[in-house]
Amino acid sequence: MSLFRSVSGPLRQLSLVKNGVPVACYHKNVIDHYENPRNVGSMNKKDKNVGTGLVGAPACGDVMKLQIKVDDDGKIIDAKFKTFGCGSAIASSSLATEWVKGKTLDEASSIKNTQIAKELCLPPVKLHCSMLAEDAIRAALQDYKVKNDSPGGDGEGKVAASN
Amino acid sequence: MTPVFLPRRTKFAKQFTDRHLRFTKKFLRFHEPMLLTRPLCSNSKPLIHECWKCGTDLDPVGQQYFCDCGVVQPPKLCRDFFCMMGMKVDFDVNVPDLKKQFTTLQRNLHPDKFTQKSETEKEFSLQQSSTVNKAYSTLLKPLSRALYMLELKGIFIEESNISAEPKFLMEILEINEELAEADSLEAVEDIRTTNQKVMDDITASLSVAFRNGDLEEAKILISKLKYYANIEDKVKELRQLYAHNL
Repeated sequence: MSLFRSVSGPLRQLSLVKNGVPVACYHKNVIDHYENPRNVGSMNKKDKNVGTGLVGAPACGDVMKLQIKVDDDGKIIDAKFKTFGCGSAIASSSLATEWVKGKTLDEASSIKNTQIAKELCLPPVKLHCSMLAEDAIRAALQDYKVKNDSPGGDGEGKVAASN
Repeated sequence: MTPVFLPRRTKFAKQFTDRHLRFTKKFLRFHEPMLLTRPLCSNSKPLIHECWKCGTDLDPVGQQYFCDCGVVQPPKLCRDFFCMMGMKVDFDVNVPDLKKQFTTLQRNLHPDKFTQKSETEKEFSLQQSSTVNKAYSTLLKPLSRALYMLELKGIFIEESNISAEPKFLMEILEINEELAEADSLEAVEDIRTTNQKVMDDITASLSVAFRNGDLEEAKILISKLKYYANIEDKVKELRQLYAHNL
């Protein structure tokens, strides 16, 4: 009998933890993007019209690559991403690619992590995933600008992008 | 239950100022397992303690678990994981020693040993053995050990602090891609071997950085190690998957 009494304490705690799990679940918007990520893939990063943003989060070890393809009018016509990280990071970058498509460079640079976090209903502990997506957009835009501002064209732009 | 808990709780509440709360919140995001025994005072010298049962003064290190009267003691606020495992704060942990110490401690502290004892002792043994578990798992792996050592100095790896080294990130991305495309156990094993070697190298550099007291360097190395540790976790998952399919 004493054996039963002694286990009842820890067991009770365990079940509490178990019941707590659904509360900490991902929002349906995150799950939607996680299960059907939009625009996964890669584009040729040497292409002059492609800007590549590569960012990482040192605290969680996630890496995110976001690429944009810009037409001659300065409009983003395509976007691709590849993220190795948690569900929120994947969903954030997937959403980011959806949002930048069809936007001009300036419009894209105005996308804020708070908007991404709001759309995905990210909890405070996952806000940094949306920040990562914002940084990825920034980095991609920056890469595109560097590539296209450099007089040497392709070659020099590529060097600037990879260093 | 006995009134033993009440004085401790109030004392704890007093010490738990806003500053600690802020630290704890920040900390929770990174490393939950360390939370329980985070030393709440800046000085790691423990306070003077008495045995809750017989009132004898306790040696804060030698008698942190048991009084000479044989009664289990509650975990103290002022001690770090290294002290709990009978070690000094040092990155170069002797892992076999750590394992040995862990098993010895759990042999004496495990709640199963206390089924015939009072409720208070059961509670204390439960708290002690669970903090010993946390101390052990934190110190066992170089990454969590290094993070804990920085944390003892009040240094946290900031989430917003994006390490901007595209070359390194590209390398990580490529390993991840390689892993995602790996279609055989051999391919996964290859990645694992390479990854392990890189992690060993970083751990060796970390050891040097800590020895030189170069915490900035340690921070950089730790964030690198985190990326490789993530890859290691994925490799483990894949290996399990293959093991089940065989």
